[in-house]
Amino acid sequence: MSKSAKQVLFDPVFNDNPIALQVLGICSALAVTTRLDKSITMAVAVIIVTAFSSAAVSVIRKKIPTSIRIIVQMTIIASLVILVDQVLKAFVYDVSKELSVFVGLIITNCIVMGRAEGFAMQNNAKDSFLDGVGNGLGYSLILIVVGFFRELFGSGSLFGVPVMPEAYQPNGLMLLSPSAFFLIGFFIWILRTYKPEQVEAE
Amino acid sequence: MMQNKDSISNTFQVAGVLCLVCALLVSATALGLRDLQKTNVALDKKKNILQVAGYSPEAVEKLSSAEIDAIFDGTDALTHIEDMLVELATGEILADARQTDLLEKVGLTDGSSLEEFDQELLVKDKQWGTDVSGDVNIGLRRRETVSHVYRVTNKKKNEITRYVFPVKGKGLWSTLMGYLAVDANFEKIEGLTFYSHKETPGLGGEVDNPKWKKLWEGRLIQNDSGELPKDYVVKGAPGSDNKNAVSGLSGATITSKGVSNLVKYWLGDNGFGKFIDNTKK
Amino acid sequence: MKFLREQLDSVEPHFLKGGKLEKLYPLYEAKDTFLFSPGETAEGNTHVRDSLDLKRMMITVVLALGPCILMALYNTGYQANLVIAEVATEANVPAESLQLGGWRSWVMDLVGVKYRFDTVEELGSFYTPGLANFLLCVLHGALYFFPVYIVCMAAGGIVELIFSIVRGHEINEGFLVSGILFPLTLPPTIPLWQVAVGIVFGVVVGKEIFGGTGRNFLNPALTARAFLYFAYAPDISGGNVWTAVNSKVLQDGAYKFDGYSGATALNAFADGAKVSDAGVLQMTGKFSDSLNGGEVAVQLSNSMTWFDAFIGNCHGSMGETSVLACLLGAGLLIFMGIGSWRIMTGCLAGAIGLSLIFYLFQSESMPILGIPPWWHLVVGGFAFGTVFMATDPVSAAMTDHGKWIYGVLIGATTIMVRSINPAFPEGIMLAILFGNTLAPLIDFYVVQANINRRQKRVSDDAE
Repeated sequence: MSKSAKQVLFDPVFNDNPIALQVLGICSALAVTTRLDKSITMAVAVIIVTAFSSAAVSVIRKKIPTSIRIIVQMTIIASLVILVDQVLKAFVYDVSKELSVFVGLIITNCIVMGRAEGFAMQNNAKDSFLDGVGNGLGYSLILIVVGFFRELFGSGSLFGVPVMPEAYQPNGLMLLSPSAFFLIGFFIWILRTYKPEQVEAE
Repeated sequence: MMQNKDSISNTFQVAGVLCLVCALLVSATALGLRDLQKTNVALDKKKNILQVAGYSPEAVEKLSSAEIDAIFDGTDALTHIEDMLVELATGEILADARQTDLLEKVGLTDGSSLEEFDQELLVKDKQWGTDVSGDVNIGLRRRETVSHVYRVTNKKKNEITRYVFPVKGKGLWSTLMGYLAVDANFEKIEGLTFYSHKETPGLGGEVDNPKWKKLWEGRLIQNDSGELPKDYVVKGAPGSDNKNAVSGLSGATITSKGVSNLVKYWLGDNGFGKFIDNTKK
Repeated sequence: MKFLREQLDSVEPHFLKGGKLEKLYPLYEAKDTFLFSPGETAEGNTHVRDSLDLKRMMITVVLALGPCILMALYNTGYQANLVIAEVATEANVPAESLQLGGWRSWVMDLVGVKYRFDTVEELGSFYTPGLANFLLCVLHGALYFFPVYIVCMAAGGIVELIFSIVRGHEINEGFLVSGILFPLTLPPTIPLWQVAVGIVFGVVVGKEIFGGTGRNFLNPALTARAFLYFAYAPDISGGNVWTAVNSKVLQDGAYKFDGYSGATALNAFADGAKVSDAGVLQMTGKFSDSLNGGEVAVQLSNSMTWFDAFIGNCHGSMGETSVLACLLGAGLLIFMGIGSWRIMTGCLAGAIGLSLIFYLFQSESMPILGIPPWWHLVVGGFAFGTVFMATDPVSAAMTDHGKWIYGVLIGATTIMVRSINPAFPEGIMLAILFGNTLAPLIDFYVVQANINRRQKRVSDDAE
């Protein structure tokens, strides 16, 4: 069952979305999506971490002793996350201040770990890298959609620039975490109406 | 032929090499980027101070980092903001020897690092922190005994225009951290801004609303009898005879009360009151 | 009548399967069965256990809401008129110069009745206003209630219709109840667009996502209210929204005073007000002059007794102020077997129990714990929520034991939120939604306990 590179890259976006279908990584999706710039920064961070950790794990997959498999993966992921966190702090301080602990918490994001263990351990480095990017993209898609609506309706702005007319009254609920649940719920609803095969059998 | 990957020796080898590589990578990045990060933290703090030092938020955004640094190190043509450490209990500026002690304590050794000093680190310290006392409740148990005070000077007119005090206190859900600016004669509040809080958006979160922040400008510190007023934030609108207070945030009684208390506390004798008295003389 | 039937029958083929308007069948069906009893009869073995069908049930609930609706109209109008009369007296301006705000003044002028009173004496007391003034207050209240109601029915109805058409369901009467409950839980000054947004959210998220009427695990009306409460908090909480007055006084050619702010009893309690020894709760209201820099223009004081709160002479959401009206509704619901007396009694027990504990352990530092239990029952929306919201048969617990647990949980949570959480003066809405989400779990354990008990009996017998 070998997939073409294109499939590996794009399947996780709509067909096998980590958030919408596998329902992984919800926690950070709630926390960082109040503004679009935060969502995008987080999305890029996750793409980088998933892609490079998957690739790195794949490269050394034949050398990793089974008994310390998970620890090795964690170490690689953790190092990458710290790396990303340091870079964000140095170059986009404003956003990284807002993201606070959530960049660090990418370590615990099930998507990253899941891809390393579930895909990279069995596949070559190129495919693993693409798979990591693809899953990162799937995660990013939701983050950006949710971030777009939360900032637009919650603050009446996008990227911090007011876009709604003066008379628009911001919707405070959108700035609270539950709204991300609603939005992700709506997204899944639309996706499964469009692709009914994703509905779980009862 | 490759060694069995599950053998004990291989396990240790892989673990060892991996740790080494990762450790090197992480420490190299951390070291390489440290200066950049430090500048960012300092810059962010300075921007927040500028918000109440007479610059509008838009004006602050327009300033380049070099221009901001110029304002703080005295090379700007118009404004100079000086950073001082004040002993709250006496209201005196911290003596040099004690300042060196303090800075060493938090790991800052060279002389130029006053601006890097984070007074929050002192709160839990036995020597440099103290219990919050007095009848104004700010919802915190401990506070520092030494605080930054920023003196704003207009260089053209060669006169002090404002003092900026770091203030903090509990709102409804979170501790509000901010800066309070007062005029040089300590008669009026010139501005109040919060750089960190987690109040309810739309209710308590309205402390960030520019319209509300504007209300603070020009409110008097003392009432007619020369004391701090009962409240700095009142429910509904303050009457025309109340020159001290601003109107409360509608639907956010507890946040309003919290802001009122923290302003009163930090302007009072347990806060910067002694410093104000000393400087007035 | 016959003509109507013929008309309906003649267009029917268009809506049946294969007709060109097939998709709009739910619309036709709704109109048809609303006007006439359905002609279809069940084939094969029927399984009717009771003559009570969904339609009759929903209509009974609407009837039970009658007293609340009447009180909503009267009280909304009376409180507004009272404030206008008081302001006219205090500020010493003719009541004629006080406007209701917007188009409502225009309508009142068009009807040509005097709706502004110079003094409170002229208006009369809440309990003895006289017939003319009573009707005037009802008319005044209607100008606030019905726009909200109409917008709610229109917006919610359209969403229901769209879902029915897409899913090929029939429209049922479930929405009639949600559509009247929701406006009753809103303050009179709620902006109409928020009513529309709120009910659409309530119907979609509270009900349609889960499959429509009968499958919703949340009460749609409360879901809608909770949405507004968190999304547009300033318009549904605080002190500025409970009175249907946006009076402006024309003085020296300029409008003065607007924005009356008067707290509800629970707001007052949250601010540390206490019931005096004479049983009076003292509150204040004021007109701020936002047009002229936010100065306080008129300071009013008002007071309420336990009896006022019981009858409904106080500020609050439109339908929730009168406990008496809720009790009348409760009587009808229990008599008809629609509202569960177990849930209502459970709520009551939970609320009295916890508030009594708080009352006994009240302290100086938390004055709000000192609200007397008998006041807890009459202020805010406790009675309305208990009678009409908690008992919603779809979202409540189904088992008898479950209903008790569910009721007590709601009652106790309400008091807990009111007393312990400083952010929310009122707790019944959150308590019921919380109860709704737990209801299936409660039922599960009640049924499980029953199964275990029986199994034990069987195995005991076998020995």
